[in-house]
Amino acid sequence: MHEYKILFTGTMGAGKTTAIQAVSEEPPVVTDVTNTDPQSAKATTTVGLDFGVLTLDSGDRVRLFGTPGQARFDFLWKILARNAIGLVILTDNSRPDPLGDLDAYLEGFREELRTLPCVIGVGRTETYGVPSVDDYAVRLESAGLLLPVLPVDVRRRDDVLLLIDTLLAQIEAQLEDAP
Amino acid sequence: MHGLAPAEAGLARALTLLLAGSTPGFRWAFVHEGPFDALLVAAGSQPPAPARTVAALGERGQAPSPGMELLTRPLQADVLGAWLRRCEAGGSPGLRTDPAETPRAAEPQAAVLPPAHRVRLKRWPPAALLRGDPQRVRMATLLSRRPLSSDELAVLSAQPDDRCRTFLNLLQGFGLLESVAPTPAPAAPPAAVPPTAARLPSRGLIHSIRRRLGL
Repeated sequence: MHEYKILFTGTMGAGKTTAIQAVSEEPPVVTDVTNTDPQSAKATTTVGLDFGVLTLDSGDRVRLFGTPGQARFDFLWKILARNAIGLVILTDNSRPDPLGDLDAYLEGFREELRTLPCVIGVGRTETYGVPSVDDYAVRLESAGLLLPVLPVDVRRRDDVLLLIDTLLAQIEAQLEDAP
Repeated sequence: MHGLAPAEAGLARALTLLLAGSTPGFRWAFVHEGPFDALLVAAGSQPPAPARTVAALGERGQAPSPGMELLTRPLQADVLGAWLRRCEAGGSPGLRTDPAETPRAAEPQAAVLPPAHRVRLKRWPPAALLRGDPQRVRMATLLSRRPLSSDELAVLSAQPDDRCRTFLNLLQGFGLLESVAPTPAPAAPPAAVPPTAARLPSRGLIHSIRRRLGL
């Protein structure tokens, strides 16, 4: 049996745990504690890992890992990204500087993003339209990256499925490149 | 066009290209310098140059300037085509047909991509072009990773040829594609090959995951 890994990362409150819950076949293992960060209204926050699982017909498993969102846990990001088949970066457009948040994750995963399939999911665009999804694309272009950017409501399973399908399409394209 | 947001200007240009490629007898061409036979401006703005016919792009119910027709947002291909047909039929003495205009008239045809021509995305497309369509998202995603012709895109995306060509022409209208010289297969630079290349997921795994998720 083989195990594969898809990583969900993003700021606190961006919806990593909710996104995993939307597609996991089991309730995600959640390692929350009471949030003591005064800058966030969240009651709890992830300090270890969240993970969900998908079991395939072959018996192989796909683990869905959620990273802790707070910057002080960024040392875990690179460890978690090892051997991942894809990365989902979730941003929260209601935050003061969503593009700055994006920059932090692009920098944090800079080496991995040279080859690792990645999709950006932008949350809360219905009520916070600025920056637009197109602004994210321009920011990625200025960083020398071309990554899919999609508006997403992680409470909707179809939106999360589209994020994963987009990762899979990138992997498919890579397979054609592989020697 | 004048005063339109870049995304709207790109959409209008792309729709003009589409109409040119799909409408028999369509003689309109998108040009950058006047004088213009038809000019599309943002509602509330004044035309910067003489034009035989001017329409304003604005919100439903918005009052355009006197003498202007209002086209409502978002701009649709059938609405644009109908307006241009009205311009041709009654609003103007006729399109310019002097030899200097011949190259411009040829522009829409030249902009339609041949099936074997490989292109790649330069930037992720605007949301207005993708319209939340999962198939368009998938096609754009494939084009973001490697150069593809419309034939290759049709095979990889499992979409009909004409749907892929339409999408590519739209992307080209937005200036989002770059041509790639024909080569058998693009060679990846050594630095791009990850240490875990030997463990790249297989196509079977991709299909399994899609099956599992009902995609």
